[in-house]
Amino acid sequence: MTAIPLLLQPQRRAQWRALFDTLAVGLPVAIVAGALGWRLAGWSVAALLVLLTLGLVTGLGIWRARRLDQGWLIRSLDARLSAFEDSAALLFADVRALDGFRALQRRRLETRAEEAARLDLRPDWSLRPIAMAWGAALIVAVAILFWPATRSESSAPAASVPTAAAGPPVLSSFRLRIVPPAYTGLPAREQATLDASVPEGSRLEWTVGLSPAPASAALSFPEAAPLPLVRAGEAWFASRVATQPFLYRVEAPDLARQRLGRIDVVADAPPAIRLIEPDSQLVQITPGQTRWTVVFEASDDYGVLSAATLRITLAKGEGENVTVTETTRGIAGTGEARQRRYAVTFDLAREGMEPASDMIVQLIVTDNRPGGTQRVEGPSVILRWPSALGLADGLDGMAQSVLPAYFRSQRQIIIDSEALIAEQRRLDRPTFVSRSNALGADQATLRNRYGQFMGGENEPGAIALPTNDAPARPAPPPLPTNDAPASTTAQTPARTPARPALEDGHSYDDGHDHGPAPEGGGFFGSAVDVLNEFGHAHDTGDAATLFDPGTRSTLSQALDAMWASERALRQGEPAAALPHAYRALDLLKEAQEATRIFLRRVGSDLPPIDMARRLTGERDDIVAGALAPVPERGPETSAVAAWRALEERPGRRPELNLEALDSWVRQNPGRIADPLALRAAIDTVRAEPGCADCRRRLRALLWTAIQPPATAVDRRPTPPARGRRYLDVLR
Amino acid sequence: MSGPSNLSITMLIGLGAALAILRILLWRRNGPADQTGLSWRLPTLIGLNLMAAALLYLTLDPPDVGVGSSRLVVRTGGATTRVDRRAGDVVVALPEASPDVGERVPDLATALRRHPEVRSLVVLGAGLTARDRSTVDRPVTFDPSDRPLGLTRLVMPDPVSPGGAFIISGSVGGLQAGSVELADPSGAVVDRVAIHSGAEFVVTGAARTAGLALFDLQLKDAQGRLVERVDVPLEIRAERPPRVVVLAGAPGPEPRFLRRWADQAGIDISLQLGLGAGVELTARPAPLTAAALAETDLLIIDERRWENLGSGERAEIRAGVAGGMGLLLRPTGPLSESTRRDWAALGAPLTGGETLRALTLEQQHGSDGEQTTENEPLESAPDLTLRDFVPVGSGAAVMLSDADRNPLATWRPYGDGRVGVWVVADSYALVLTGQPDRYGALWSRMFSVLARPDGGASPALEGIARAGQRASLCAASEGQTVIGPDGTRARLVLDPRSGSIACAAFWPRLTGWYAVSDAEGERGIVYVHPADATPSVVSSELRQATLDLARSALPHRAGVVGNRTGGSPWPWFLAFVAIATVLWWLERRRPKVLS
Repeated sequence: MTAIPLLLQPQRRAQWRALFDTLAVGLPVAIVAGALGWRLAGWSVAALLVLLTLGLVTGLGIWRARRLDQGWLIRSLDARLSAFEDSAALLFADVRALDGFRALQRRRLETRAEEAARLDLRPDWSLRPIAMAWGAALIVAVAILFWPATRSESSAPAASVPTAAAGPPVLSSFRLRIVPPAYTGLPAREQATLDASVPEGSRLEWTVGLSPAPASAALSFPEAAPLPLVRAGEAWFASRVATQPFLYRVEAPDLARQRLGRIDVVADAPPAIRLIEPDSQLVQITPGQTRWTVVFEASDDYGVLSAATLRITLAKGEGENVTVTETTRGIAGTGEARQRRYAVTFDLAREGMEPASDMIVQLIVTDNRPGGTQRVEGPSVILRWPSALGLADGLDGMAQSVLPAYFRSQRQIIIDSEALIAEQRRLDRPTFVSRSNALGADQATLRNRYGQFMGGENEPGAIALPTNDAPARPAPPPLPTNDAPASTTAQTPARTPARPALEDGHSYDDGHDHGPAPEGGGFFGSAVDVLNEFGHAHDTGDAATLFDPGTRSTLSQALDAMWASERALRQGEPAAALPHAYRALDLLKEAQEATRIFLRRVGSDLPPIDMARRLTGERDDIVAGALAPVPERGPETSAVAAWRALEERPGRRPELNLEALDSWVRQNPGRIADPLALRAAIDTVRAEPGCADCRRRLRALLWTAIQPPATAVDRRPTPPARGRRYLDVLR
Repeated sequence: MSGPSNLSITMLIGLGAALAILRILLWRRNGPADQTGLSWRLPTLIGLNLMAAALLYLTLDPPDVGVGSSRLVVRTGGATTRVDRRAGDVVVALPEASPDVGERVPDLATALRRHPEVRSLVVLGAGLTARDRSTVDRPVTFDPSDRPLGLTRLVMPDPVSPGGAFIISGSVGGLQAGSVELADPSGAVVDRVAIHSGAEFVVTGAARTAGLALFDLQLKDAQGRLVERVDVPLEIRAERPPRVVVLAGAPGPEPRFLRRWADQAGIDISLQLGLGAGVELTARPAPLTAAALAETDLLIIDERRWENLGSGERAEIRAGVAGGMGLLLRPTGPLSESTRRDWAALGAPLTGGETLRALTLEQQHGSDGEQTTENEPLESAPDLTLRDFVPVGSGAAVMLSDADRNPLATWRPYGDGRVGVWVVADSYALVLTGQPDRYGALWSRMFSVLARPDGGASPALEGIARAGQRASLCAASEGQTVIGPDGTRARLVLDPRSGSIACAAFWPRLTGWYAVSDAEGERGIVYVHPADATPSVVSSELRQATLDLARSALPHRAGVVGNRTGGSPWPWFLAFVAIATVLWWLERRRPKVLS
């Protein structure tokens, strides 16, 4: 049946038209329903309503389309097409059932089916209903969407007032915004927790949400007036500048007791200065040094000002003739603000450095804190130019380069002699004598050492016998003139064996002694000819006028004593050498202390001397003074009392005085590791007296606040009577 | 089988078998003639019936197998469910064990009463508790489980004086590697010791002011995870301070700093400094008479002053020491012969003393409760000097020693008192170098050892007491009461078997501090731990006690006859079921009738 599909096309088209027509009318309804649903209850309900309505409309459309069935098609075809001759039904009947005339008619109709296919059977758009529907829908939807909210809201407070009376306020949201001060360069941050650690001077802004909204709210502080929270809409605001650490709590009428929050304040630390170059604080000047570089580095947590001050102190002279001059000059640093470097190079001659002078350099930097800058003085560096002379016995820091490293000092010789005497019984005679001889050789070397100052000969090691083959003494060095200072100190070893040339005005035959040449050159610890390197011996031997007469005679007596002791030691009699050695030591000490000043001890007020009783030996009426009073122990602190009161000992316990403890904590924040935690614990115990855990926590925190006392004495228990009797019987 | 008697069973089974055979015969007779069929059917049916009857009888009364091993396998706490049992074993589970395997009994005595025929006991698990150990009268074999993991022995510290140091010692069980940490009441770690499996440890801490404190001992494994923790109770009590008299031949730094420390510690000290020629600098003159010395608890004297004492005064001192006073000899230089003889007569013979020698004290941890880690430097020991006096003989006990175990202070008894010798020349250097608490600790130790005894021993617990278990208090006296944390009182009754130790027991229910008091007031205070504290100590004690029990020779119980245990009825039952199946099939099967 080829005709029928062709004929069904107009029906199809008519049905679709019916469906779309229904949808066109129904869509505005869906829109209105959706708008209403959204306005009343939200997106999900709106979507549901829209879908529902669309479904209904589609169902309606399908029903209408169904109505245009086969019967309608036949009727429409018969009505429209005269060519069908009112027998369109034949085309839809079963072919096999038709016979004779009807089949013939059908065949005739099939040939005319083509033009039927082109028929337009579609019903018209129902324009009026569509227009009306859309217009009305538009108006209603706009009305729904833009209906003023007061009507729904004025009903809401009427609905919420009964609920506010029903429930107490509850903390619904909490936000803390921390704005550090601008000079720190830290960004502002926000957090939702109560505790924070903030830089000093930063601004704290709280945003608290309380629902249902109470009448008033405030942030309460345990030791200050509460800060009221200002309401703006749903949220409550407050702000404060943090300069001290504090505890706070959100409070409102009927609000459940909130946890204490703590704000710790990190103070701006003062800058720290470090010495970069040189690497030790005491520097000796090297020979020939004309410039000196010092580098400091200053670091701070937020920033160091670039302009710093350099303090230079120059101390010239020695003994009683020290003159000190102090200058300050500005210096600029390089690098970033948190770590700046300050480098300065000194021209020593321009600064005024001389032999026997010290230059002390110190850097002073300041912070960039706006509330009050912090000024820090850094470590000092000392450049030391040692003085020309140094004694070999017991001086530190001054005469390093001239100290004979391998000499035994006089005191050591004495100790060794006494030790040898003590061992005399155990040693046999040859060993004893050889050891004594060795000590004598050391004494000789020491004597020669000191003898240089007196112009004596410097005998290196073994005594050289006067023969013809080798020179008795090494050749003397070139001598500086008595007018010009000792310009160069370095003497090459190559010159030592040869007989060096003398300066102008001196020859080896003039009347005075030019001193021996140093052996080995001038390195540290060598047997340098002190006198000739740093000074000049002008006269012959014993008449050396380098020292003042008093010191000179002490030294010469010391040399005599040393000679006597050496003599006895070399002969194997250390016992005889000892007195001389002691005398030499005393004299050396006297010479050494010649330039020292002795001051009376301050603060000792001795009673005046009773001249009548003095040196008589009478001891009557002597009364001893009193012993110095011992500082009193302080009274027991409230921390100790509270600790004892919080004990869980059965029986009656002393009263717990929280007020006294709180005031003690407030007055002594320096002694306690964490005063805020302790205050929070005290507050908790005060608020909840029945909470045993809170009391234990407070007790644990008090342990750290108690100073450990001086160790007391345990007493041992009395032995039981039975044991005592047993012991008595045993003895 | 002791249930229904064998006779009635036999009769019933016989009746059943007879009825079955009768039925078969009637059946055969009344059946169709052509169904005689196989000739062997009838005898087979009858035979099978008889066999089924016999098997049924055997199922209900299986024949005896033989004599069992008659052991009682006792499962205690921690025993596994896998029990290696032989035939004839009776397995019981005590309340501490899991109830899956074995008969549940409330205690061992009940099990023994229910099974009197057992000849020996096999104990599995942690061991028998005290409740059961006393009822054992048969040989015991104990196969201990693994060593417990945590602390296996713990000795709690004795009461200390304020500011004093205390020690806690113990040993660890099977933990491979880890550390033991002691935390003070505020939670800061004050001492840490690394341990390995089976190691013994000693941790020290320092006490602060007087009162009760609970320290925290934690056992951590190598990764720092907590394995076990226990509260360490510490009673810090201020004793009555001793009365000390210091006689010095000359003023010096040592008496000066000693007086300063003693005043800070509250000790009643009286300083007598000789200025020469009979003049003495003192705040309060203390004559050396018998009455005055009887009031003194400790006398400190150096050899210069000793030489200036008259013979009468020396005799008084000797008598005082014999009466209980303590004497500390402080030689400051070489001794003269007469002083050496006198001191030897007092019980302090010394030789040497001519030279000074350097010494180093032991390194110490920070004592203020600061956090100490292995990386932090310990307090540096100062360089002190000592005079090399050597005590003659070996009877001297050592009070203090330096880092090399050389004795610094020794003592010997003399009469009722003690005579000590202190050889360090400049212990005041500790105060000058900024360690006054160490100085105080040294002198406090010497004072504690040498001073006259004062007061009796206070009641103390034996071992660790736990809530819900019996605790034993020793050094108690009749009529004392124990007051619990909730105020309940219990009167103590002394155990006459404990003799002069005077122990009494009480049963604490709650955790906390218990005070022992009598009519005059509080005598002592003890701490009771929670019921589950230190489980490893408990299990190691059980283990040790049960091992001791197993090794002790207990006699076999005479007169116990091993029972003849019955065999298992199951094989007979299976056979009966098989025969019954065959019988049923045979009876069911009829030749088919073909039409």
